[in-house]
Amino acid sequence: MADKALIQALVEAWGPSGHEYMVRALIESHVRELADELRVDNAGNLICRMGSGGKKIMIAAHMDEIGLVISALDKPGFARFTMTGGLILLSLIGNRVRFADGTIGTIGVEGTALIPTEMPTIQQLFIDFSTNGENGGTVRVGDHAALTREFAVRGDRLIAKSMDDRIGCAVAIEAMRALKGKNLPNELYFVFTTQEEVGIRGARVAANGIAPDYGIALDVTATGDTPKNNRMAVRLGGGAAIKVVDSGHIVPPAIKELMIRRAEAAGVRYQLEVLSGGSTDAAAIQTALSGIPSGVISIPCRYVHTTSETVDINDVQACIDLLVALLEQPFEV
Amino acid sequence: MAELLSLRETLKKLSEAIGVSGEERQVRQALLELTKDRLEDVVIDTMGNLTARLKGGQANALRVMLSAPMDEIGLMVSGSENFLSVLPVGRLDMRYVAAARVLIGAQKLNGVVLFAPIHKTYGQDELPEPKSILIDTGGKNSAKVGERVAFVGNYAELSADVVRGKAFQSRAACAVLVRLIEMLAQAPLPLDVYVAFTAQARIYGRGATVAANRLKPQIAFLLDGAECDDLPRPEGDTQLPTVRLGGGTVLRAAEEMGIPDQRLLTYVRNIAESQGLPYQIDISEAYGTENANISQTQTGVPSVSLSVPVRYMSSPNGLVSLADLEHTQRLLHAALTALTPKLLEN
Repeated sequence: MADKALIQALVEAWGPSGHEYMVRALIESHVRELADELRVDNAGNLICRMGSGGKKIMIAAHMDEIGLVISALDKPGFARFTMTGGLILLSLIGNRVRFADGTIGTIGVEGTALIPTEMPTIQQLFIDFSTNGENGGTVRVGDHAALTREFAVRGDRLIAKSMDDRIGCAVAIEAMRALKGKNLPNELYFVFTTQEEVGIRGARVAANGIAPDYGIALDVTATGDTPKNNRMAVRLGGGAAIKVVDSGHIVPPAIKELMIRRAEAAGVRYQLEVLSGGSTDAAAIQTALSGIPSGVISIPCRYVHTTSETVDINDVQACIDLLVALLEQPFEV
Repeated sequence: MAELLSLRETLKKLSEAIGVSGEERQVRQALLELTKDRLEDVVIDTMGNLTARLKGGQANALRVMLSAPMDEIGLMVSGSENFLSVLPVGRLDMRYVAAARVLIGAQKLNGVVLFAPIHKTYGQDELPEPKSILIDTGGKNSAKVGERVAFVGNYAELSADVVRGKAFQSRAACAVLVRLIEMLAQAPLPLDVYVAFTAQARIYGRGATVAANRLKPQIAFLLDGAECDDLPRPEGDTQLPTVRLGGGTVLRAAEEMGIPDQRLLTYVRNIAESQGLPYQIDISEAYGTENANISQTQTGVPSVSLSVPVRYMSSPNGLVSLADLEHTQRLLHAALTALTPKLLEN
């Protein structure tokens, strides 16, 4: 079963968009021995090649997490911020944030109400550095931060911040481990991408550089299995989710069908995914250069973009198994 | 021989040129007059960008792109009646649009944006939508559908340092780049420098993408304007301003569509610190520079923006500090002087 220690290390690493260097160093330490060739491109993507000859396939999982950035200083000990990626304002008050140097802050809201009852705007929120003196010590305008929360396990369920998309990174690393030493019919490029949460910037650039024949993104998707939520068919524990469509990407039917064939042949549990809000690296890969047919293996995840993103370890394993089944055979689209 | 103007004169000339997005001809012409002796391989491409190589560049040296946008926000004629209907070009702030003076098309017809006096709004006292603006030309007119409409903002010197004018977001950046080109021509650096005066920056930075694809730089420095927030605040509001007029070059730590290259941002910041040049770090939520466009061309271009602070930037009455322009020119020059390919090694 998937490596929980690896997952914990990945989700607890610090890496808001544009500042993925700590995550990249961690991943590099795990994949250095697995890849035939390893490089970091201009956008900060970590590109790992395995095998040579055959179809070039780019597998993308993004390293960055949603975060925030100091936009202005306020009275001593307080600062204003804006978001890098889709923070959910409803879930922010009382949450803690962490800066690159380890500085911690707490998110608060303006006003005198002990129990805020109205939805705040981002302009009403601030970070409290809990210092009596200067503005958060060394914190300056432009400093980036990420939400912080420890990893937790409840049976088969894993709960943490940044499952989006460190769990995708974990799936990629596990697949690399499984493929190591095999005679690969394809030329694989495992790419750990940057800046997905702020406009899918890293993957586009990586695809331009690699010029793959096909793309596969590994990312989380939402579920429809919580109370009064039945608009989406994906559920936790239902297996790997094969994307059909999301708001930025219609998966070419041939890619989707290849994934289904491979899942069925390998006995991997799968479900089909239709996501109405959000997209993945595959949307950018698909429209890079003169068009690169791309699909997505999604890890079902509850409470996406909160500090309690929840996945099921059996789904994670199914995603690994499906990815390995896809990559160890000729890519017959 | 190109004209040799002071910074102040350069800015005035460029601000007074009209160049609503997609119709930047006048600005491009003014820029050519100012810089053509210093440039080679001059190309005006299909987007309207003016790209060129700086004379005296070293062929195998680091390939650097310096860019500044040319265009300004404005309007476009969409229907030709006594009251002209128009559509917005770029992101308009409707609070200054009502009653603004405008010039229409190449023949520079005069007009004024329609507004109802406060006692005759008949209950409709909200600002109009950008798509329902009308222009009063005082009767019949010869305006044609598709012609650009520019806002009028007379250039004026408010003090020895602060000047007022229109289109400063783009033209202050252009003025800095023009002066920098002159500086680099007189004392060349061991670099291969390319310049791009970009078109259509205010409509999603479309020009910059094409310019960067043509020039294929290894590294890019973008000049632009940044909105000031050093205005009086309501009582009890303790938030400190982030961008001050006269506070120095604005470096962006985050933009709406992405995060700039951290190596470059840190590099420029360290240069500013070591040279004692003033800078301010800002994050831009409402708009971005062309960073998102240029950095995503090719296999990724490390790029960073250096912006000049502008008060009232989205109006035709912007204010800039000439000292900020000088400092920005010096900061970029210092950054280029110390630049080596080592910066791009991971």
